[in-house]
Amino acid sequence: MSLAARLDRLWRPVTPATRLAALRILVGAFALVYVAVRLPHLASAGSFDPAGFQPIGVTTLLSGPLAAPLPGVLAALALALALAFVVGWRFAITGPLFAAALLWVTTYRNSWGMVFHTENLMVMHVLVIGLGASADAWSLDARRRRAAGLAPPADDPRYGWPLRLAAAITVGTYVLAGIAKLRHSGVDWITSDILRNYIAYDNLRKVELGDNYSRLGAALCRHPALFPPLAALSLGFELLAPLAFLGRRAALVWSLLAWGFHLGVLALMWIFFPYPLLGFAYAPLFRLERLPLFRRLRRDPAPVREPVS
Amino acid sequence: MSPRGSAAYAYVVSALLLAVVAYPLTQGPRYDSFPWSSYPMFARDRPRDAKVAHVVALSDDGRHRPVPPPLVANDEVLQAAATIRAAIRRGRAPALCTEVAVRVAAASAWDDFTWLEVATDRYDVVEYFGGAVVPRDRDIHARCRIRR
Repeated sequence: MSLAARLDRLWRPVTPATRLAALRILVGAFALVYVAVRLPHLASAGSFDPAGFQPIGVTTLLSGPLAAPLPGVLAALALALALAFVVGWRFAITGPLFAAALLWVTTYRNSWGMVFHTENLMVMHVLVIGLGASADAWSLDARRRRAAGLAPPADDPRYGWPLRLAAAITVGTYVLAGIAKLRHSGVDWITSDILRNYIAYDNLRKVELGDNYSRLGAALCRHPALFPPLAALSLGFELLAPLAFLGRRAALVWSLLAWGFHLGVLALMWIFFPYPLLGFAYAPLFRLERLPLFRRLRRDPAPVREPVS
Repeated sequence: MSPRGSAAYAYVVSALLLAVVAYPLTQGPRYDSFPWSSYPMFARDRPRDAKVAHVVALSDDGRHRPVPPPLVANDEVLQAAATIRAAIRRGRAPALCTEVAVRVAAASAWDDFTWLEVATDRYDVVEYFGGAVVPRDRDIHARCRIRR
C-alpha cells in the first residue's frame, strides 16, 4: 500500500454508519437541549441596545444588528432544525441547515461585547456532522430507505472521516489553547502567579458582580505553591493532546485528563463547560455505537419491506 | 457520489474546518472570535491589581451589596459585566443606574437598600480573599436613588 493510500486510510477509515449516526444522535441531542434551554437568551439578542453590537465571525457579514423579531425567529428555526438533525429527517438538507443555523444564532448571541467560550466545540462538531453522511443509519431517512427495500449501508470511509475530523477539532482546540498560553506568557505561565491570579480575579469578579463563585478556588488562592504544578499539568495535557490518536487506551487516558481539567475549572472557578464535562467533546474518539444507550437501536432496525417485483 | 468525489469532498471539508480551527494561530495573541478561538482569556498575564466595574446597592446604615446579573442585564454574569463596562464607556452610567434602580425597587429582597452606585473598584485579587475586601480606590460613574 502506498504512503498516500495509508494516509487516506488513516483519515478515512472504513467505519460502520452506526458509529457516525451515534455521534449525530448524541451531539444533536445535546445541541437540541442547549438551544431549547438557551432559547430565551438566544432570542433576547433582538432586544439589545444596537450600539452594543460588535460583530464577530460570520456576523461580520452584517452592517448592523438584525431587526427585533428576527433573532428570535432564527433561534426558533434552529430549534426545529435541531430536532430534524437528531432524528435524521431529510438530513441532506436539514443537516447542513441546522449546522448553519446553530453557527449563526450562537455567533449572533456572542456579538454583543462578550464571547461565551462554552459553545465553540459543540458548534464545530455540529458543522462536521451536518456536512457528513451522518443519517445513513438510525434515522428516519434510513427507515425510509429500508422501507423502500434498500439494504443497510455497508461500512465505508465516508462514515470515518467526520469522526476523525471531529476528534481532530477537539484535540486541536486544546493544543491551540496551550500554544496561546506559551505565546502570551511562555513558561512564566507555569512558573509565575498567572494561574493563581486568574483564578482569584475570576472569583473576585463574580463576588463583586453579585454572582456565585468558587469558595474552594478563593480559599486556595492563599496557597501559591499549589498553582505551578496545576499550571504544568494543564499546559501538558493541552500540548500533548494529539497523543489521544495513538489508540483507544491513549484516547481514554487523555479524555479522562481533559475531563478532570474541566472538573478542576468548575471546582476552582465555578465555570461550567457542559459539552466537555458531560463527555460529548470526546465522543468522536470512541466506538459510540457500542454504548448501552444504543442497545435498542442495534436490536430493532426498521422492518425491511420486500421489493416489489 | 463517486469514490473519488467522496474522497475529494472529505478532504475539502476537512481542510476547510481545520483551517478555521487553526486560524487564531495566524493572528495576534489577543485575537478572539467564535467559534474559532485560542481561548486567550485563560492565557493572559493577570496582575494582582484588578479593576471591576459593577453596580452596588447601598443602605442608609452603610451596608453595601453588589447587584446581581439578572437585575443588571440578564442572568449571565459576563453579559452583565459587558453591559456595565459599555455603559461607562459610552457615558450611559446614569441611565443604567436608573434602569437598574427600577428593577431593584421591585425586588423585596432589596428593601433595605436606598441608593445605587455604578462604580469601578480596584482590588488586590489575592488579598481580597484574605479579608481585604475594601477597594483600594473607587471611581463612581453614577449614583441614583432607589425610589419605591
